[in-house]
Amino acid sequence: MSSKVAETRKKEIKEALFDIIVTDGIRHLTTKNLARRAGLSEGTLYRHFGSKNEIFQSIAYDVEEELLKDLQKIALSKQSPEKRLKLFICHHYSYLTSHRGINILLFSLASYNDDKKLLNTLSHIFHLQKKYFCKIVTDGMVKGIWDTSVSPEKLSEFYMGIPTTLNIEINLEKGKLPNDSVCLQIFLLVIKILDK
Amino acid sequence: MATKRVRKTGDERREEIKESILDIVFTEGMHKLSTRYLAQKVGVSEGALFRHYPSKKAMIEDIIGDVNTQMVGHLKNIAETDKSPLLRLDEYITFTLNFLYHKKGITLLLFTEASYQNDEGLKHTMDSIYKSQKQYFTKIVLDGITEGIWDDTIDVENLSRLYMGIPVTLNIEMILNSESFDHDTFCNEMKTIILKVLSKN
Repeated sequence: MSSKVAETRKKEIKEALFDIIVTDGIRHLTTKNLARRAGLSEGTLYRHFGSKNEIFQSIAYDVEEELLKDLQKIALSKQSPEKRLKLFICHHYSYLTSHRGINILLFSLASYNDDKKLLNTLSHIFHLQKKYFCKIVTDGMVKGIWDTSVSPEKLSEFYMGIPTTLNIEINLEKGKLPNDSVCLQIFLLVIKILDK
Repeated sequence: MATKRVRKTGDERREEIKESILDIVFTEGMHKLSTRYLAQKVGVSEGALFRHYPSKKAMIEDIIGDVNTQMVGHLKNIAETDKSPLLRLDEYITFTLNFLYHKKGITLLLFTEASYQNDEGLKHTMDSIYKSQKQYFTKIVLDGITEGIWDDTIDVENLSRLYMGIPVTLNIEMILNSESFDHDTFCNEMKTIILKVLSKN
C-alpha cells in the first residue's frame, strides 16, 4: 500500500469517527463501530492506527496543523493589532463551527481520557490559543492603542470561554449554528473592553 | 428518644454519594467514575450504593436536579429582585462563580455527560439550565439599559454568550492552573470586563 493510499485511509477513518460522534455520540465510539462506519475490518483499522488513542492523538495533531498554525500566523503578522484581532476571532470562530465533531471530541477527551500524552497535547492546544490571543492584545497595549488597565491574561481567559460556549450551543441545538455575524459582534464586544 | 442515630439517613448518604462523584470527576476525571470506585470512595459496598440510587444515571440526574433547584432557582430570584441592575449583576456573577467553585466538577459533569451520552433527556435538562442562566443574565443587562445606566448600542445576545463562557473557563483554569488559580481575583476581573462592555463611553 502506498503512503498516499494509507494517508487517504487514515483520513477516511477520522471522518467516520466524527460522523459517529455527531450522529450517535461518543459513547458509541468503539473500534467495532468505527471499522464498520469506515467500511473496513477491525484488523485493517488496527493496521492504520495502533489504538483509539492513536487516532485521537492524530486528530489533536491535525488541530495543531490546521488551526493553531493559522492562528499563530495571524497573531504574528505585521497588520495592526485591531485587524489581527478581527481576523483571529473570525478564523477561530469559523474553524470551531465547521469542525463540530472535533470540538465535541476535544472537550470530552479532556475529561474522559486518562492518557497523559494526549492530555498534555490538549492542554497545549488550549494554552496556545490563549497565548496567541494574548499576544495581539499585548501588542495593541504596547502601541498605546488599547487600555492598559485591562489584564491581557484575564481577557484571554474570558475570550477562551467562546469555544466552550459554542460547543455547548452546537451540541444542544443539534447542529443549528449561530449565524456568521456572531464573530463580528464578538469582535466589537472585545474591542469595547479594550477601548481607552 | 434520646438515642443517637449512628446510621446515616438516606439523605445524608445521597449527599455523600453526590459529593464523591463531583470529587472524582474533578480530581481524577470522568473515566474514573465507575460505581465500584465510587462505592470505595464513599466507604460503602456497591450494593449499598444501589439501595440509594437505581443506577449511575439516576445519581447524575439527581446532581443535575440540584443545579436546577440550588443554582438556577437562586439566579432567577437575583435577576428578578428590585435592586439596581448593577447590584444584581454583581450578585449574579458572584453567586454563579462561587457555586461552581465550591462544587468543583459540576460543570465538567454537566457539560460532558450531555455530549458523551447523547441522551435526549439529559440534553434537554442541560439545554434548560444553560438557557435559563443566559436568559436571567440578559434580563439584568436589559433592565440596566432600560434604566439608562448602560450602553444601549451593545449586542446583548452575544454579550450573554460571552458571559456563558466564564463558568467553563473557570473550570478549565482551575484544572490547568490548580496551584496558582485565585478565585477572588478571577471573579473580580470577570466583573470588571463585563462592566467595561456595559459602560457608556
